[in-house]
Amino acid sequence: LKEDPVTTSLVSIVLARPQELVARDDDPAMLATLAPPLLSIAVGGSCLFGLVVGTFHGGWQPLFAALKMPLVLLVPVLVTLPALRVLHAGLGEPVPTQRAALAALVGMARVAVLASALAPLLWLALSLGPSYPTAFLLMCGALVAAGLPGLVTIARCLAPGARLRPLALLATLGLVGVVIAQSGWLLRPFVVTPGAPLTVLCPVSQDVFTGLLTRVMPGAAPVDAAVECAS
Amino acid sequence: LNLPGWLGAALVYGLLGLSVALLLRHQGQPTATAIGAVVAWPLLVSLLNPTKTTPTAPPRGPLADSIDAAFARTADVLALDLPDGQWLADLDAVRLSLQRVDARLALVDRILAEEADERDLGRLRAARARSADEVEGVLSGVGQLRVQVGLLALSDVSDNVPSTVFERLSALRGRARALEELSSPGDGAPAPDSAAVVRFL
Repeated sequence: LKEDPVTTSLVSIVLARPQELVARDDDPAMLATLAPPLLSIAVGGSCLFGLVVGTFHGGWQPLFAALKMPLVLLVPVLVTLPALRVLHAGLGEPVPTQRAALAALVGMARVAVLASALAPLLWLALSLGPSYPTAFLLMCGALVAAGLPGLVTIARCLAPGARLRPLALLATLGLVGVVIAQSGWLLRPFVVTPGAPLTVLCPVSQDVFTGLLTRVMPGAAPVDAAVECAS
Repeated sequence: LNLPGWLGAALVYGLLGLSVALLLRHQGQPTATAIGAVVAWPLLVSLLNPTKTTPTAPPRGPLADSIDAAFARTADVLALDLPDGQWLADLDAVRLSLQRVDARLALVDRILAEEADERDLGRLRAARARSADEVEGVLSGVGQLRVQVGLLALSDVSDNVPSTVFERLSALRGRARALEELSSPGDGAPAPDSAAVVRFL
């Protein structure tokens, strides 16, 4: 395979100094030039992560998980970006459209690169045959480890001024984090107990917090049959 | 149609993405960008109507005072209100390019002050000197342009800025852009489609 120097350079910049990619937001050609490789990195990296998560069950599940994982990354950012822009405008520092788009793309690409870097470790751990709860926690842990730096990148790129940074960081982590969790819940199952019947999507039921509460503390919330779909 | 809710939403999203992609392609955007818009059109829809934002001035460097002085002297020329106002925008672009180069010189100066190993710094010092000389050369050209436009104001050709002004300005802009885009000494020419990305390296 021939290495693409632009993509390789982009991956390095996305990891080491992502804010430089957003700094040239005054040039419309920059968004048009950077969007395709950044999207490719985001989709490719998250597909790889999904593929690895799906190996816990085997069969068609790696394919299903690989197809759904990019949506877990893409949908929350697309949904929350307008809200984050309104928040910044309300705080007196409006974010130009192109800066917001570049920040989102760079943040997503960073999450995907980190997730794909963690994928071999996760694969090794899942291949050791852990129990379902352990495998589920491993996936969540890897997602949090890869997701936090990406969300921090989005927050910093949206609010380059130091004045708003703590508030922007909290707002971004809170808002995007919750929407990512709920998106993952709606798009489940990803980790499926080996031998359990496969479904592409579980029926829409409850929310991520009630669902997790039901699992962690049985009896704390009414059990919905659809919650059991994930296991 | 008895589609599940999520499938209907995905269909609408995809159709909107396809519309944005077709419009982007129609506007001459690259195919890869148009394909990207099918997936993430909310992020790329702004390319349909790109707004030219005012570029912010880069941080001040060692030649900032010279640049300010040279362009302050052109203020009287700008007040002449000659036709073909595009050349004023070109002049502004030259100033912005020089300010960006100046900001990089400031960064190089910091590196030269902080690093101790003279073997590695020799090439950097030479490149810095060449860039600074080139900035001075462009500033000198700006001064000559000012004189040329001043002469025009006294002549009878003020209803049409002659091509020599544009040629000189175009040459200045080219020098300033080349200087700005110079990433490091000895770099090869970047591929045309990756030029925008390579500027960061």
